[in-house]
Amino acid sequence: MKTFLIFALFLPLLTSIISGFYGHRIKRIFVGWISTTSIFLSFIFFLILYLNSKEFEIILYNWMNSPFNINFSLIKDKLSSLMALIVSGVSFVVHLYSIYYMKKDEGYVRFFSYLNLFVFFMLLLTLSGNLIVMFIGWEGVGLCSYLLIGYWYKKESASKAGVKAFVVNKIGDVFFIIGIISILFFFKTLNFSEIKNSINCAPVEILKFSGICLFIGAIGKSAQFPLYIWLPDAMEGPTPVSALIHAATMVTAGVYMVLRLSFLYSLIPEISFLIALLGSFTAFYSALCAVKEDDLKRILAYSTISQLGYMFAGAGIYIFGKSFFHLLTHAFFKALLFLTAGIIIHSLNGEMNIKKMGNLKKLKYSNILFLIGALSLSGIPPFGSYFSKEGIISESIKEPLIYSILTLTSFLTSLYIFRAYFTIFYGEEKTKIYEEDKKLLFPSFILGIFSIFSGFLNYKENVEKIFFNENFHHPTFLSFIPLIFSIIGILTAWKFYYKKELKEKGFIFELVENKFYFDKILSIHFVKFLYKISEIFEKIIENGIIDGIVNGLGKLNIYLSKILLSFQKGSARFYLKIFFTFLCFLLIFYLLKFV
Amino acid sequence: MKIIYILSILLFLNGILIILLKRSFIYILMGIELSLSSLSFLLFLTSRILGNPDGEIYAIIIFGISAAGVAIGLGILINLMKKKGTQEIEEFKDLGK
Amino acid sequence: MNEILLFFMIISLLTSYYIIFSKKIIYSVLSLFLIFISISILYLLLGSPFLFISQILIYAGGIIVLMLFAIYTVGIKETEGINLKEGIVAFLLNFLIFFLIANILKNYPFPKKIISFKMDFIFDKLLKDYLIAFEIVGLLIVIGIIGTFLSVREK
Repeated sequence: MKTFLIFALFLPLLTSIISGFYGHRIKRIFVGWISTTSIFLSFIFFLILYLNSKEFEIILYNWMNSPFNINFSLIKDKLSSLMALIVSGVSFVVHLYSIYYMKKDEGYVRFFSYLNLFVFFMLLLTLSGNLIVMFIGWEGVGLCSYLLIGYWYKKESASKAGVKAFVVNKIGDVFFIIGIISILFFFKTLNFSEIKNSINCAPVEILKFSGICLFIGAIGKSAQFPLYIWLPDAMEGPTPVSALIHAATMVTAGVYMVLRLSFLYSLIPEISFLIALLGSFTAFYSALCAVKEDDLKRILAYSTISQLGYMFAGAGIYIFGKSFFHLLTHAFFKALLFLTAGIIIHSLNGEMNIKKMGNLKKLKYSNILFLIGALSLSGIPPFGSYFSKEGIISESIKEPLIYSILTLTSFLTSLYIFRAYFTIFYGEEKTKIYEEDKKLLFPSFILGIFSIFSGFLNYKENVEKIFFNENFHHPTFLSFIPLIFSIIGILTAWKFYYKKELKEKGFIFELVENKFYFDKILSIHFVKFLYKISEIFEKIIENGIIDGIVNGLGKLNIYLSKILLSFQKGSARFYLKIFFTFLCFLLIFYLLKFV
Repeated sequence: MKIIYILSILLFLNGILIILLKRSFIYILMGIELSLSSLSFLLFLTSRILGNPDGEIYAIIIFGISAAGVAIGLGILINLMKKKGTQEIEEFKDLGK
Repeated sequence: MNEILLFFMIISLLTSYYIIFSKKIIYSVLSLFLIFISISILYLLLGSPFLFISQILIYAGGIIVLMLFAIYTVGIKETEGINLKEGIVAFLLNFLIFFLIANILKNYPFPKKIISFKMDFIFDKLLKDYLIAFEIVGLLIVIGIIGTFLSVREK
C-alpha cells in the first residue's frame, strides 16, 4: 500500500523529468502518450488506495529534529485519497485531450513535461502530511502555473499574464508563510495530526492569527477578491491548462487547505464567518462580471472564481463536507466546459469572442457537452452539482446574509452560462466553421458522463462523513428556492439571447463591463507605486550594490592576479631567492622551538 | 670536534650564500661544488662521531655525483654563452614578462 | 689535534668569504682550489687517507680544471660585485640559521675520541652493501659527460 502511494506520487515527476530532458529524441506523439499513461497509472493506484480504506502516514525524510521536529511526510486518509483520485482522474482526461489538442504546437514536449510536473506538485500538496510539504506543493503548482500560462512565451500578453499570476500568488504566499511560522512557533510542529491533537490547548489569538494568514494565502491561490485579478488573464495559456489548473486543481488548493485545517477553523467562528462572507461576495461579484464578458474563456474564468467563492462560503459556515463535494463536482463540469470550449475554439480556427460565434449546429456533440456542462453549472437536478451547490445554499440558511447572496448568485450563474450557450450555438453564423475534431471528443465525453453522475459520489453521505462535525442534511422545501432562481436565470437567458442579440448598453452594463473599474483603480494606484519602488531598487541595489559586488570581485581578481604575476619574472636568481628565503623561514620556525 | 662540526655547517651555508648572491653562472657552479663538498665532509664527520661506517661511503658517492653535476653545469654554461653571449643569469628572462 | 683541524677549517671559511666578495673569476676559482685542498687535509687528519686522495683527485684535480677550461673557452674576465641590500639580508639569514643550529648542537654530547675505520672494512662495505649505488654513480658520470658532449657540439 505504501509503495503504491509513493509510486503514484512520483511517477508523474519521473515522466516529467524524462520527457523534459529526452523527449526531443522520440516522436512527439509518444511523449504525449507516455505522459498520459503515467497519469493513468497514478490514477489506477489512487483508485486502489481509495477503495482500501486504511489510513496511514509515510515519512519520506527527516529534515530536522531540533529545535523543531519537521519531517517530509505524506498522509493518506479519506480526504487526501479522494482528492488525489479526482486530481489524477481529471488530469488523465486533460492529458488525453491535449495529446491531440496541442499536436501542431512546437513546444509539445515542453508542454507535457510541465503538465506532468504540475500534477506531481498538486498530488504532493494533496497528500501532504504537514504544512511544509503542503507549502512545497503550493509553491510548485504556482511555478507550474506560471510556466504553463506563459507557455507561448513569445506572445507578450501571455508572458505578462504568467508573471501577473506568479506575483499575485506570491503576495498571498507571504502571508501563508507567516501563518506557517506562527503555527510552528506555538505548536512546535507542522504535522497535521499533531496539530489536531494539541489544538484545544492553544490560545484563540494564535489560532485566529494563523487562520487569517493562511487564508490570505488561499485568497491568492484560489483567486478570491481582491487577489483574483490573475485568473482571467491566465486564460492566455492553452485551453487544457485552463481546464486542469484553473478549474479543477490548482485553484482548489486554497479550499483544500481550509478543509485540511477544518479542525482549526472550527474553533475560530468569527474568522470563518469572514471567510464565508468574502467567499460569497466574491461569488456574486465575479458572476456579475461574467455576465458581461464576451470572451468565452474569460466567462469560464469568472465562473471558476464564482464557484470557488461558493466553496469558501461553505467552508466558512462549517459545512465542510458539502464544500468538498462541490469542489469535486465542480472539477468535473468546469473541466468539461473548458475542454468543450477548446473544441469550439479549435473548430472556429481560434475565435474566442462569443459575439462572433453563432449557429454551431454542425458541432452536435459539442452542443450536447456544453449543454451538459451548463446545466451542471446551474445546478439543475439530476446533475451532480445540484446536490452540492443546493446543499451549500440550503445549509447556509443559518446565516441569512450569506444565503441571500448565494441564491442571487445562482441566478446570475445560470444567466451568464446560458447567455454564452445560446449566443454560441444559436443565431446567425458569423465565423466559418470547420469540422469538430473527433479525437478531442472522447475525453470530453468521459468528463460529461462524470458530470452527470457525480452526484453519486456523495452516495450515503460518503463525502460528508469525512468531516465529523457534520449534521447531515436532507432536502426540505427551502432547498427548492435556489433551483427556482437558477431556472429563472435560464429562462431570462432564453428570452434575451436565443436567436436574438441583446444590445447591451446602459450604465449598469458599462459598470459591470469595466469590472467596476477595479482593475483600473488597481493599476493606477497600486501598480504604479510598485513600479516606482522597483525603479528605486534597480538604481540602488541592482546597479550600485549588486553590480558593484560583481564587478568588484572581478577587479579584485585582476588586482590579485597582478600581484601574483609579479612573481613570474623569469629570472632564475629571483626564484632562487624566494625559494631559499622560504626555506630559511621554515627552518627558523622549526629551530626556534628548540631555543 | 664540536667546533669543527659547527664550522663545517657554516661552510655549507657559505656555499649557499655564494649561489644566492652572485650573478655569473660560474659562481653558481662554484657555490654548488662548495656546498656539496662541505656536505660530504659533514657526513664523514658525523660517521666518525657516531661510529657508523656508512657516512664515509656516502661521502665517496657524493664525490661522484658532484663530478657529474659540474660536468653538466659546464655544458649548460657553454650553451648559455652560445645563446646570449653572457653568463649573467639575469639576462635570461625569456619565460617571464 | 684540535688546533690544526681548527686552523685548516678557518682557512677554508675565510677563503669562502673571499669568493663571495671578489670580483675576478680566476681569483675565486683559485680560492675554491684552496678550499678543496684544506678540506682534503682535514680528511687526512681525521684518519681517512683514501678520502684525502679522492678529494684532491676529483675535486681539486677534476672539477677545478674543468672550470678553468670552461672559463678560458668562454672568456670571462670580470664580473660585478654583489648587491648591498641582497647581501645584508642574505648574510643576516645565514648567521641567524647558523646560530640557531649551533644553539641546538652546543648541548649535544660529542665524544672525545673519534672512531676510525680500516680501509678494508670501508671497501668491503662499499662493494657489498652499496654496490648498486657505486655502479649507478659511475653510470651517472658517464651519462653526464655524454650529455654535455652532445649538447655542446657544433651541428
